[in-house]
Amino acid sequence: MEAFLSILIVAAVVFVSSFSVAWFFRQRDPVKHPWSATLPFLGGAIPPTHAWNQFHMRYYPMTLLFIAFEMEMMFMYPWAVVYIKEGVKAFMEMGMFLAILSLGILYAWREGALRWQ
Amino acid sequence: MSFSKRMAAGAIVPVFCLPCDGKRHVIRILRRLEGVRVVDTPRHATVLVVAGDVIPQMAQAVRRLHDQLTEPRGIVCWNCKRGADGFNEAAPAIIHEEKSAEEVIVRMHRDLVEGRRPSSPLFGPMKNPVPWQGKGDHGQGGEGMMGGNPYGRPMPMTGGDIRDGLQLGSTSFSLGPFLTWMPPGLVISLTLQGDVIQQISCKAPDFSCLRDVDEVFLLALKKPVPLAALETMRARHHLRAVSDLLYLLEMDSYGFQALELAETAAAGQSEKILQFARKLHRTGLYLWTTGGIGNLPPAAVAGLGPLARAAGLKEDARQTDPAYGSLNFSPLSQESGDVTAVCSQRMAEAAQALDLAGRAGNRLRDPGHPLEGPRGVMIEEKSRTCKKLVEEQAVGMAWDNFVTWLVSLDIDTSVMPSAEDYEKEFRVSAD
Repeated sequence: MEAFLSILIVAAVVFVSSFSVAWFFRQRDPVKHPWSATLPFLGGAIPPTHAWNQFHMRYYPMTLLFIAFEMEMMFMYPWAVVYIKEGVKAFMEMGMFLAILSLGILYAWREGALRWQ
Repeated sequence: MSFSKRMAAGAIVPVFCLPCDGKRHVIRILRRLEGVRVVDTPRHATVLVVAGDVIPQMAQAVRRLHDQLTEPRGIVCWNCKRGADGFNEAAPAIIHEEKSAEEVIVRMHRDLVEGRRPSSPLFGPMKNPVPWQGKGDHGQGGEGMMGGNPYGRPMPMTGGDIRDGLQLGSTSFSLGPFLTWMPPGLVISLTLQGDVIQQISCKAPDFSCLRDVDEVFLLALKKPVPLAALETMRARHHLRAVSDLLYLLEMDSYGFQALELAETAAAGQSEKILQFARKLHRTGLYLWTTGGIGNLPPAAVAGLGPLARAAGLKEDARQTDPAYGSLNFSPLSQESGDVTAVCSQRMAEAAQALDLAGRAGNRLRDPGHPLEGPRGVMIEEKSRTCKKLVEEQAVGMAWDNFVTWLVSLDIDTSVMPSAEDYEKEFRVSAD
């Protein structure tokens, strides 16, 4: 209980002191912003519309790739556990699995899915 | 005076420049001053440099930009033939000659920061002149996400994207007339979806009077001028255009070197420019930011001088000019037409021009032959602008690539009439 109380007191002191300092300097030198200063800078023009609009991130190809290779990792985790016991056979089987999936990477690369647009 | 004020007063002065005379030379002069830094937005500036007279059609934009400077703010007038009319309450400082420019600007900044001079008063209102208002009785309702026209401006509506037809929010706005990287006076209206340009239109005439070009080219249209002088000025023009691009790419030290070369270039010193070009190509940042951007189609840039030659067209009016025939002149060209090629073309032409100037001796150029200016063939003090090129090629470009490409074009629209032209046309008195 004492620990919580001390944290509460410290938090209250920090809060009060920071707001007091900010209020003091604000009273001393209040910032005056005209309406023009609140507008975005367009070289002298006024924006005809607001800028709140929907922006499409276009990350679908990246997401699909991510999911595909996430599933690959899901298979590699249990493989890593038994790899030492199974030996070269496990290595060869995982190698074939990764080679097949690598064809997918090469296809995505060729189709430009890895290009940052 | 507090320690922090003394530190601030001694700092490099951030300056925002308004080239009301339509020329970029004042910005370039300011960039070469040691105690001054040209910034891209008025919010970062203490001093507003107004170069030339402010005509009434630009007055509103000038006042708006002035109010966007944070306090303390001051105004410095340069080449104002009508003095400081319109700024009387702000009591601006006046620069009478180039060599006193730095001193005037630094003194203005120090006086403002140390409190010896009051901040320039605002021109515009403090509060938004249009309150939030919707269609309903209580100010609610209307189109768009939040309804109504908040503060007099509508919300952006949806529009089809040219890439895949997705109906998402499109942003329309105008840029200009005073952006550091755009030709002064040019206003472009854009619609963006994300960062891709969907529509663009430039408010500029198709043919323009050349205001932003060295006097010797205008003189060469009427009188015989020494070939050496013409070619030296051509080299300087190209180097200044390269420096503008380098400053945009935030390669300030290279931009400064290009400006220094432009001011000190003399006949026969082509090796310095070639050395600079090689140094620039070795920087990975330069090639990365300019390679593959805006490949100019040859058909669209015919007649546009260095742009046409950068796209692979070997056209140059100097080929048929007898004054150049004896110097074994042949036009240089690139292949790809991207921004790297345009920049390389300018530097190669600058080096070639200085080489020609060194070998020209006392040769004079006959004004009867077509004149190849730094932006293409000049006809009666006019040359083609790139209005159509910009409006056609920019659609589908990403915003950052568009800005780099536009600066590389070095276009001169001269849409800013001078104070004399404006008064002559509208018969407004100087008062």
